[in-house]
Amino acid sequence: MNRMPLLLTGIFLTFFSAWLGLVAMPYIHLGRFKPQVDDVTREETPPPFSGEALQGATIYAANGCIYCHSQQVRPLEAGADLERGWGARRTVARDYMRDKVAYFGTSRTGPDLSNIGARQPSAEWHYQHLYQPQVVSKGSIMPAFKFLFEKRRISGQPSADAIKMQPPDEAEPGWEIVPTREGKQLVAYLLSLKRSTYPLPEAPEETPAK
Amino acid sequence: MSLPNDPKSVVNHDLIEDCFRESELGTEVDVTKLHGAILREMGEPSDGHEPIGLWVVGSFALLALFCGVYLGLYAGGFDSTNYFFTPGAGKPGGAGPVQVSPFDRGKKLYTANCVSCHQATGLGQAGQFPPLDGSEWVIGDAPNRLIAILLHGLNGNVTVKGEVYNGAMAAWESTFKDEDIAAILTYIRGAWSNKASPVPKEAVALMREKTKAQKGTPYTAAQLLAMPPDSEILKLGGGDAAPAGGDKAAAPKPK
Amino acid sequence: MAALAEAQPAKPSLADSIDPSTTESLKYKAERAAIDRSLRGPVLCFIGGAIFWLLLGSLFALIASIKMNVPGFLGDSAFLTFGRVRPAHLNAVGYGWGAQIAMAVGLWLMARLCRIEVRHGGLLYMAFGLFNAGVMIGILAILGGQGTSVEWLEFPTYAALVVFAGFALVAIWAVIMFRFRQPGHVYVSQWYILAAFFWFPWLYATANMVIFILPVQAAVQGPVNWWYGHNALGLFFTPIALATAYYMIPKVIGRPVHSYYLSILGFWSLAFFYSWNGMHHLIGGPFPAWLISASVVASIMMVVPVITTGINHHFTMVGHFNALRWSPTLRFTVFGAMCYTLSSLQGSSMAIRSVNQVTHFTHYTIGHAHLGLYGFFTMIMFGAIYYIVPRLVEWEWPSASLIRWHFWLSAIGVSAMFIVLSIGGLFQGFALEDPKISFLTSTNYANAFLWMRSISGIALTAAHIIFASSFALILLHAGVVRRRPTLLDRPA
Repeated sequence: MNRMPLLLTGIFLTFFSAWLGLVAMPYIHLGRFKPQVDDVTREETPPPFSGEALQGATIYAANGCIYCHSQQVRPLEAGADLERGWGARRTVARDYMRDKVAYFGTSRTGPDLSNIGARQPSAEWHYQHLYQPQVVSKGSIMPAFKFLFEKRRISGQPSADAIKMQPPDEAEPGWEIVPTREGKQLVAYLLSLKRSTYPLPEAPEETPAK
Repeated sequence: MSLPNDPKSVVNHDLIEDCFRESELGTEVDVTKLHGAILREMGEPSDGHEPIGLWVVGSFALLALFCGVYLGLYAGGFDSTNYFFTPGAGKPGGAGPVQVSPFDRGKKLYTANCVSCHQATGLGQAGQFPPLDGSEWVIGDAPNRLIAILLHGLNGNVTVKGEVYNGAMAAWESTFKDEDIAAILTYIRGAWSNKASPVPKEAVALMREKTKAQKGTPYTAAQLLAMPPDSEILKLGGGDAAPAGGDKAAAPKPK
Repeated sequence: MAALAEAQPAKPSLADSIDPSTTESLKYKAERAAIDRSLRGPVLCFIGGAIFWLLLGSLFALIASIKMNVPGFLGDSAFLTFGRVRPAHLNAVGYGWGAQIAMAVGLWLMARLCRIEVRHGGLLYMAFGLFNAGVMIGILAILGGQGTSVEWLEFPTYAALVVFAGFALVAIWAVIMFRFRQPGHVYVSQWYILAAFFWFPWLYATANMVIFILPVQAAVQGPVNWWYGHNALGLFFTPIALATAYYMIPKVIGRPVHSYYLSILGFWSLAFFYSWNGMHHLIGGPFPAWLISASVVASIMMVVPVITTGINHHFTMVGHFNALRWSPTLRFTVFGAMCYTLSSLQGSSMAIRSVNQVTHFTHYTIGHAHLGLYGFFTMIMFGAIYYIVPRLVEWEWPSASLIRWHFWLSAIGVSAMFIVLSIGGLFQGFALEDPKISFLTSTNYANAFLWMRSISGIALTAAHIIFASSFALILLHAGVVRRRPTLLDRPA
């Protein structure tokens, strides 16, 4: 192996083969999904995100939620996700066609969020959880995201957005805790995560044995 | 062969260094400037040529064989629409349509076509549009009449749950396939507080055939009431009214 | 005979006649000295920059680790929330330290083996400036909330472009050096370095292009993300570290590498199988079965290059294990080479679906990553620095006990971290797989181990502070003039 052309050709070809297989092929097969359109209602699945939810996805990224939370539901053959009730079926590539960037995740220090919008549909729950996770999830090691909220003096009418916390997290009398714009966007994103609540032909529902 | 850091070899290197320092042989190298680390370091690495053991090659070949078999078994036939490793796991439907139950399909059709009058609650609108929830026309044991209404429409006064309504129910015969009409009826007979049995699409097909003559002319209530419960339709499964425990709803009787 | 080509100078020098045990000419020694001098500035800069990021990265790691134990720690600051400090750690040690030290060592090895002096070294200072500016911008962006949360690609595009420009300059330099090398045998280390400097820019460019610059549908991003993520390790860090081990082991003990044929088999099987790795990070994920299975198989086949390289290194060392007692370079390098075998075989096992089902999504994977990037890559880089720096600054390491402390704190620290994360990860994984156990219990199982991880992290940070001090001292030419190398022990 003393000749440069031979060495370089080999270095190129081995890598190129993988590039074809793992970049080009996925692009061809997974890069051009179209939504499934219901023949009656003309409803599209997966449904598009609202503008606010898409903004929320960048807040999700900025604060690194992905380092503890995944967004993928494994089938029965590959894990206990369905048995944990994280979805009615596995997720497949098409479920992510609406995302700008998909946060599949590789860690489950926190639970999977593929369907968190269906599992926890209450915005109030999410606000309380983000403000002080231990309040709604005792023993959780999730950090508080108080910087997504603003504690401010009530001037005139209390804000409709103000969240209700219990002591010791409660705001002092005359003060209120309201989510910032980022906080609202993040919750809008979380509430829109309903990745396997609609049927797709390539992902049949599976029923856990128990 | 001596180690670079071996004190025995350090002596030798010192010797070299001293020799060069004292003798000026005209080499272009001014070794006195060389750092000790450079002087004592070993030559650049070279290659030995031991052969590769046969057992190594053999076990690698076995491993490759295993991997080939693995790919054959668990690569989903190299089909990009197959997401399951285990052959047959999840029984993927391939590119086929999603199987939706007639009830769910009916709900969608109802939402898309019927709620503007009969409302999502199935309660209709007082004085204007008759209710479907609890309606003797819907859950009664004469589904042939219900099918007939949906196919060809209904005009004029009609009494539902004791209230008289005067309206015009549209004919859907040309809009919907048998399957869709069956789905809608299955939905409205099973939704809300209604617990009547589903309507099979064969029943709709049969009724469509039997009421061919009515095409283009909406029924009147009197015409429908004259229509006896159809045993053929009942046999197809549309007629078993409320399941055990529920009141068996009677179809409206002709006055 | 190719192996002897280098050992035959044009004319016999005095050195040969004086010392029969000296198998090479003084001319080569002088040539080497000239090469070292031509690289002194740039390589020292890269090493210094790398050590800076190693320290900063360790600090981020400690903060992130303690946050796992005490969620409220530094909790009110948006900049230091866990989800930002953790990627800051990864990118500081991955790019700031890892890629930078790989460039430094790769450049030096390439110049030594191609036997040419580096010309226009000024451009390498520019590469240094660009690369570090890029990493700095990227880390600040992550802390400031501009991170992308695409693992291993967290830098926003503007930072990634600067990093890429800096890296590309170095890569071009390496390829040019190879092109204008002195005629003669091409050594195995050169293959690895050439390949690494060729593959990495391609990988980095593809990943950034597909995910951020001309984004494709999100489903494609998963495979591309992990193809990049795994191959940044497999096709950049690994080849550079293997090249270093292939150089340092025979160099220090002064004997040829066991088998040229094993070197060839190891290199090409790595090139072919490693490049197909990555999708096994997505087992059970929303991707076609064939894609995942291809990587599972490629990952299992990685046993071939690993065992091959392991045999080659082992039989080169046989009979010389004593040298581990006194040579700092060899001790770090051999520790790293052993971790390579261990972490790669572990990696192959983790690609097996039934194993992955348990270990996926747990701290077990984090343990594996540290065994690979720290136990293997970083330890070998430490060894290389202990070899290279005295030749560049023409001064011996001032203190053997600092090196000794560095080694033991690093070796024990990373071993402890690997063990506690593996055990904690297994507890966590088995709990996650049992739906009767609540989710919270699965994290609680890991928590006790995460405390121990923090402690091992403190040991590693201490090791890095000691190492950095040692580096500062040698730059300052501190200590007494030594005529002998700084050894860990007196040779027997």
